[in-house]
Amino acid sequence: MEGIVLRRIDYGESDQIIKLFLKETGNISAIAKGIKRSKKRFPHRLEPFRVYDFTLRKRKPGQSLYLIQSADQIRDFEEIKEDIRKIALGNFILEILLIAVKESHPHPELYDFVLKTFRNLSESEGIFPLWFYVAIHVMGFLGFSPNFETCLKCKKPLQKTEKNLFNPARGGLVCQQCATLSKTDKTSVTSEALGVLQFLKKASFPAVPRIKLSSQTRTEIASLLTNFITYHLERPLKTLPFLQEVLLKKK
Amino acid sequence: MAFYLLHAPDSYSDALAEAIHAVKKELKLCARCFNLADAELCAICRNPKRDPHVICVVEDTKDLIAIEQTGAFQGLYHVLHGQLDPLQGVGPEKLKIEELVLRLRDEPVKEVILATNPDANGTATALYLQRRLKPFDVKITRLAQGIPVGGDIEYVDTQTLGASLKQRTEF
Repeated sequence: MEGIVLRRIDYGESDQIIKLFLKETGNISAIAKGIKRSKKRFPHRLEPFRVYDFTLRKRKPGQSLYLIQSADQIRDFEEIKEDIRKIALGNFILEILLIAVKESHPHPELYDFVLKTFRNLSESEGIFPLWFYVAIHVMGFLGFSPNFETCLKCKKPLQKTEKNLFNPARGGLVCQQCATLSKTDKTSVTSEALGVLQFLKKASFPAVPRIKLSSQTRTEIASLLTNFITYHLERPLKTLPFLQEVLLKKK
Repeated sequence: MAFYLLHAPDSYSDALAEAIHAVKKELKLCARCFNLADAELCAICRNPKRDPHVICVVEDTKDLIAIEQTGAFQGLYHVLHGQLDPLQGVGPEKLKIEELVLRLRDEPVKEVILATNPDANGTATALYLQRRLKPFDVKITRLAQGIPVGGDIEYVDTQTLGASLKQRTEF
């Protein structure tokens, strides 16, 4: 079964419990017995940002933990592991999948999207637009697609010239007129950020890395999407502080 | 061990108890490199024969011991006490990275060897350190990856063999 590694936890002297995202069955937990010692069964350590063909079997009927009998590597996105910014973004994606994809719920379209993301991440230098693009679309696959086109209240198309406000809970914006009546929608969105968000929502991968963003817009969109994701996943993401440090902090 | 102690003389179990107590009471971290120490500085940092111009950065003390056993390194160490693990929320602030930065500022270091593990998190840690230490005028190197001594190319895994080709040295 084709899949990727989301997280590994050491178990005993030489075993690991591994959370996998499989194309056919979604997330599952599996044990890799003797992975730290057996070069015969596992010629490579199982690592993130690689695609494997796993041979799995249930340990006992009724148990949720699978046994990994073998894992043949199909693809290695090794360029991700050569750039700390790409590693940070890759981990951010893995964490969303860990939290939001339920055990044994197939998500083949999301799986294909994640592989496309890894390919683009390994080949591209435009990290910021890719970060925002992936955040918008992964959340969409999980049922939280944000709306950047029309006002949440009056349903009229948003005007970039107006002061629109973002509501993370409802995943959209309210126009200037409706905002005067609202007390909850407080994050104002600049016209540049709104234009970028609208473009990213409709764009396909090849167009994404070419977008140029000012540092102000980067910070604004990062904050807006972070609030949106954190709200809907109902917890702060552990990978975000590191992602923000390597991408937003100037060294 | 319990059965062995039952038959051993009392002096043996007393000595063992004292040794265990001493480990907890007397062992601390070296104020300079964060290796285990029985004084303010560890035995390696106290040794005047060690080369203060080279620092080997390791994830934990067990890695330091492994490198010491090679006898091939005469410089000083810096123990990070872990590796970056973003998925577990382990960021740079939880490792001894700022302490390393201060050492580069205050000590006559010419080379930093990044001896973190060659797995995903160890590589991330090395890449982060490379970025963090870039402003200093020091040579930054990383342990080579390749075919084990006495190994057989036919049986070496593809990633290690690929790495050994990329990192081949002039002969």
